[in-house]
Amino acid sequence: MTLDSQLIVLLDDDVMVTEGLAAGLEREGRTLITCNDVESAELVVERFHPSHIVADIRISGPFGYEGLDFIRYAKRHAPESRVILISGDAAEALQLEAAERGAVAFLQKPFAVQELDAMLDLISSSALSAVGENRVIRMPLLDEILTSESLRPFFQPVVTLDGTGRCFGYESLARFHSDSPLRNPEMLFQYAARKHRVADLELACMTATLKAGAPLTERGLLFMNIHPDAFNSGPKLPEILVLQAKRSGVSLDRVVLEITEQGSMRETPIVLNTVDRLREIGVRFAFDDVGVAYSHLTLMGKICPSFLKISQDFGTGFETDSTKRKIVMNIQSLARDFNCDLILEGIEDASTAQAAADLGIPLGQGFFFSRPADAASFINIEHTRN
Amino acid sequence: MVADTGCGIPPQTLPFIFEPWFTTRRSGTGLGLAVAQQLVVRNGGTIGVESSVGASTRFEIDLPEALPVVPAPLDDERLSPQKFGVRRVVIVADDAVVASGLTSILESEDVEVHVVSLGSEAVSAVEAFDPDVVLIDISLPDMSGTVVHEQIAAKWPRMGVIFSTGHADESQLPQPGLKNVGFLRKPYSTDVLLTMLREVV
Repeated sequence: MTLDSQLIVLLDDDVMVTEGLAAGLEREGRTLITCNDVESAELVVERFHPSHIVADIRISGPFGYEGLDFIRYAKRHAPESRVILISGDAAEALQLEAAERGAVAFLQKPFAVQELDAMLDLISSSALSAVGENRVIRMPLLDEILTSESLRPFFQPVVTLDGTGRCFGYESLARFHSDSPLRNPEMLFQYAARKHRVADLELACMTATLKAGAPLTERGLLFMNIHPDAFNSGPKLPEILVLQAKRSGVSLDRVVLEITEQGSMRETPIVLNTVDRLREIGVRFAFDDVGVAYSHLTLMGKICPSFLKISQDFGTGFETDSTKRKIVMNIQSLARDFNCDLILEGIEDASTAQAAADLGIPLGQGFFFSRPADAASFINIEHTRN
Repeated sequence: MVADTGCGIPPQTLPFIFEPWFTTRRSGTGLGLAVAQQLVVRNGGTIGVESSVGASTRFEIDLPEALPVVPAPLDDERLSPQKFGVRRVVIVADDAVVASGLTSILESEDVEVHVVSLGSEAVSAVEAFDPDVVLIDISLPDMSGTVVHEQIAAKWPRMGVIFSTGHADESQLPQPGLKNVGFLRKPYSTDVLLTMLREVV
């Protein structure tokens, strides 16, 4: 890493502008991240603390001044970043306001990219860029992701712990295959959450899972994660499940929805109707990561999950940690009382697998059995075995 | 459709009702219908009015159907350069940054690109480069994009032309319905650009 390595965020709603700037600014020691909406830029600024931010004043059309607000956001979350505003409108009041909020420079469009290039080198930042390489990274827009072929899940087997190692099912894990930071599923979901569109992302992942996972349902159940927010979308969730399952040739009695702990679930008429409708079409439920965060135990009687899943936070190495062991055994007794099958996640070695089997836990999941991989690799394994 | 059975609007007033600040009342701003029209137009729709004095007024609003949030089937055919049949494009735009962005996107689709920054350079560029489509920024420093279009259409009536416009210069747009002509309102996505290229050839 050299002293002048720069990480530059380019924010403009016009893809042609961000692409043009990136093409003109590319050079050794610079990483450029292009963003076409405020939410992805916020995420990048928070995560990567760029040395420079180049932002258009208007991001959502002629009426917004998001660029001005963005200066404040950047100052709060990455104070060492230097902000340059660009705009077709160079009214003095705008320039003054931009300076007031902490922008270091203002460029009126259209400008020659060389001007901005020189400016970036003149304005030094104390931010140390961890990625001082010559790269352009484009943050895709959520709508592009939702319709992208690259939204393809990985799968991890759920295995019976009775000693036979038989595959009981597969949990699908959302993956966006891309060279943008959104390949990290946590960032992907954070981005959707900032746009208040987690449910849309969930539905797109579900569609992709049914398509990719269809051949796996001949071997076991298909476990799909679902954010509690998706239940608020009312009839859309069951409708899409029915439609996409039909398209992919998946029978819905092979599908288990794992309700995650990423949000709270409230007992509203819409949520309960959605649950009833899902049960009618044959879908079963699991509570994921029981006890980690919100816990939907108050809805135990209404949802009647068929499975409880113990998070890897408690599962990994539970046999040698008395706290984890107590929690595992408590959830086990909960599962027994409510007639749910228990799945222990985070099994990373033989001793944990053995301890879980000794306790009578029927199902397990973890690196000891298999890392997550694409559907084709599991189908191929079966073929080679046969 | 919104209709009433009120006093109606006299024919001499009717042409002005969507104009900002136009009002026949003592109070009020005269912005109501102007805002309504802007909202409808910005969403790609149309608004029309019919009125007969002393009887009724009828407003009709046509809006395009919303894009579904449900993802398209994954096996949708992707556009490829062979499929849209555009190999060469001339760009007439004075903003070098935008022209460079367009160039890098089109070149990554295997389209050859030639850029000129003035309207007066467009005709000779088309002559020399022989493009399938000309992309014209509506506001150029030396002349309006519509004039550039007229010059090109006079010599090559079948040439595909795409205008790109910002929000400030929509008043300069030529009449819709011209053959082989498309409009892109900034900001537009790569997919919209590629689809439009295919449509105008």
